[in-house]
Amino acid sequence: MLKPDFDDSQEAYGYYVYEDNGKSYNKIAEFRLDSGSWSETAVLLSGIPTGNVHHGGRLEFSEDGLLYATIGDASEPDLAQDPASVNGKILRLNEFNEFEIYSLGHRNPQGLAWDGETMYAAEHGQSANDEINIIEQDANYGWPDIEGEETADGLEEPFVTSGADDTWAPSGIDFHDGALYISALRGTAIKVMDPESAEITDSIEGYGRIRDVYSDGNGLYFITNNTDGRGTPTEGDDKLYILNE
Amino acid sequence: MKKWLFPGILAAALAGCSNGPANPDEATAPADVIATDLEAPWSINKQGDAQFLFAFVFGF
Repeated sequence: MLKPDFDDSQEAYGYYVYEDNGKSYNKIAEFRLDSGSWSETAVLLSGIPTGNVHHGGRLEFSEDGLLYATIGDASEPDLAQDPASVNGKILRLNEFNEFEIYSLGHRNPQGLAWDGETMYAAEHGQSANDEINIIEQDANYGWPDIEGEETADGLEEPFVTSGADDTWAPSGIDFHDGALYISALRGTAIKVMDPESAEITDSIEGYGRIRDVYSDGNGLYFITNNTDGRGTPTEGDDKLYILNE
Repeated sequence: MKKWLFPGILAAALAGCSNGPANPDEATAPADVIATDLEAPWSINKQGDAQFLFAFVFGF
């Protein structure tokens, strides 16, 4: 994720797995581009526990320039409710290597986007029950106590859920022309959601598994993920596209 | 009738497959290819140039 001042600083943040004494961890680090090569220049947060699945790692800047990171439960659901663990959380970080738990109770959040000051996150359910949540600071989004359409006192319900019979496997999300575009892996589509009505108004299909979407304000870009071992790659995969509108 | 049993099962299995048609000719909205042969997993960098790609880690 390039810093907002990348043109001047040539700096970015990345989230990746590393090994230490034979064990795997995740790290959020700062990188700098110099003469065409990237080098790691600082560590914001290391020692993030990994798991076989859902332990990474969307990085996004809010519109006021703060860095957020999503961290999955690393296949240990109870960690999502443990305030001492960063797993199952959305974090907010600053350039002084400080972070705070911004929200908790997440299973496998992979998408972050803002509509003005309103923060949205996309999250995979355990089996179907995928969620689009509106994220409020210190709110608890319920995993593993509730998911999908389930409710409980003190726990947030999703803004939108795929329901108990449908799987999107939502990854990256972004706003474009007033709609929320949701990349779907297993759903093999880009779901288009009206943030006013919370209805899915379109489903762009035919490209296989979609990992991420991005609007630069003019065009809508998306990238496939058919070569990740769970898809059916075609010649030239994976591909970056711009949608013709 | 019986000879179609296996293809029928296969077709049903494919219909239930999560991956669907990865063929732009069958796409519900047209799009232009900007880059190919990208190694998974990749993320679109959301600051600046959309063609700049940066790796990240997910399980799903």
